Amino acid sequence: MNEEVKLKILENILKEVSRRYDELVKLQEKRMKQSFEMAVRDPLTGLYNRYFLKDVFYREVERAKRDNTCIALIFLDIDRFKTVNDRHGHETGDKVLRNVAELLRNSFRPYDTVVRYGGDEFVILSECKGFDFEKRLKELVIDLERRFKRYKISISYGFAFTPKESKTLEGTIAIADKRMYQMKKSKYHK
Amino acid sequence: MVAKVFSAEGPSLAVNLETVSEMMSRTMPDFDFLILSIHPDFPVGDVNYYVQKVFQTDRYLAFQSIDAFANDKIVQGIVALVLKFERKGNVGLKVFNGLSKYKETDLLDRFSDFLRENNDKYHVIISSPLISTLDSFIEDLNGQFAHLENVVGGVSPGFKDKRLLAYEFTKDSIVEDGFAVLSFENFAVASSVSLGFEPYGISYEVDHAEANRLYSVGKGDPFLNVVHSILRGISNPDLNYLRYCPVAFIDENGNVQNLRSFKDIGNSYVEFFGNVKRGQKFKLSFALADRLLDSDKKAVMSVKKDLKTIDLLLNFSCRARQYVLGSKSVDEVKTYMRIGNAPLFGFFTLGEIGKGATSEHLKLHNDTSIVVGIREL
Repeated sequence: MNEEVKLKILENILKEVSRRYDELVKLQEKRMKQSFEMAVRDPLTGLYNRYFLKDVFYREVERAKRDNTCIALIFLDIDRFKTVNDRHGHETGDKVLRNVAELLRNSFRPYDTVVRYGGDEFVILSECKGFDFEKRLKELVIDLERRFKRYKISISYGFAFTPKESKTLEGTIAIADKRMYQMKKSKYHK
Repeated sequence: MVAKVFSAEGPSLAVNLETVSEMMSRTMPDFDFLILSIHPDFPVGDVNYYVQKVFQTDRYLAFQSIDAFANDKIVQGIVALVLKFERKGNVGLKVFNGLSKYKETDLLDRFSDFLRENNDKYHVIISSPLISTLDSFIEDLNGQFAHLENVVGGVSPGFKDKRLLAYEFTKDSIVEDGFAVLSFENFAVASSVSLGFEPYGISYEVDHAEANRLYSVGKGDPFLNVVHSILRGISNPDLNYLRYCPVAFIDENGNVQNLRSFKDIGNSYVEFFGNVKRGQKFKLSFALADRLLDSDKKAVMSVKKDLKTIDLLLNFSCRARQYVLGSKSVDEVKTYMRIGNAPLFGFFTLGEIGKGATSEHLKLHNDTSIVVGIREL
């Protein structure tokens, strides 16, 4: 066999080996992305989970400090969600949660972070600047009550500002949670 | 043991045998056993007649081989290995027929029993080229033993009308569908498998295979596409070009277990000189002549180290290696003889039988050179 053919075969083998490596790297990247998504997503609603919240909170706080802005943390809870499960079953309860999650996702900007914090609780991280989120939240309540009229649910919320009011996630959530609770109290204990 | 190797390359079987007999009479008039490699061009029906007539013996095994080794020469004709035992050495011969239908008979059990009853001997197998069946047979044989380290051999290369066909000859028979076993008794034996081909890249996993045909790898990707890519850009691509890159099957630790040579390219599959199974992993490999020769050198040095002195060297070297070695083909046997310092007999095979590179089980290898050192105790 002449030298040219030998070299050509070796060249072709190298090309095939490179192709396989590229294929494998792409597959690994895809798998890593999938693993990451599975680790940070809530499987029921597709929203981010509380593990992701911790990670993104501190990044956003640092950014807010650098840009001299603030981040609003909105703590949101579905009112009377327990009755949905009790009266209509958990399957319906899950469906309602998924639909509420979708409504929340569509109610905020793409770069705001919407998280299912647990059960029927949600947390939204939103940049204060350029967004009248108080108005948006009021509209959200009306929208939700209308859509889910059959289940007689609503939402209560409270918000806190970071880094102004607290620099830690726990601290900011505690403040927002307290305010949410005050709203709930004022709604149902009039 | 005194071992001598003689050869002749004339056009006539009878004349070649007479020539060898004459050479023998000058230096080795008296012998205990004769092993003959006979080129497939000589008439099959004449072999036993002329061997018995010329050598006046029934203590022989003859087999067909296109190329055989007579010490440091590659011969296409007749090569005779003549053995004379000096102490308690002896060679037994047994033939096992019916390899192609072994699953329907008790051949496996009979051969297993034979090996058990003779586990103190070293067995050399010369087999007909029923490649795929032999591979399955060896695999099934492994299931009967924890390890098999006293068996080695080669597959006779012969072709007729483009079909693989080769015979073994004994005083009583012409074997087309089986193998002959030479059992060396009271000998120290050491063997080593020389690979030389290096695996490269990421492994492929066999997806769909039937016997020695590979259809797809990974998630159903046709392996034919990989073979075509290797031959891309070469005008008039020849299957022989793939001798440079047999596939290397690897174990779970990534070590090469054995190699598989390309035999044929079909419309939807690639055929090898040995079976391929779903789930097996392999890599592409490549070697140049010098790499093979380096590996050969290490193999014979290992045998020499184990035996110290050697009476006889046997070599079963894959025909595929010839393409890679090219003009350096003869350097392989020269290296073995130089380091082993003993007469050498063997042939270019269509498959080599020996222990796995990383296991104690027997394997049907491709693309290897198995060197065996033998010394009478």
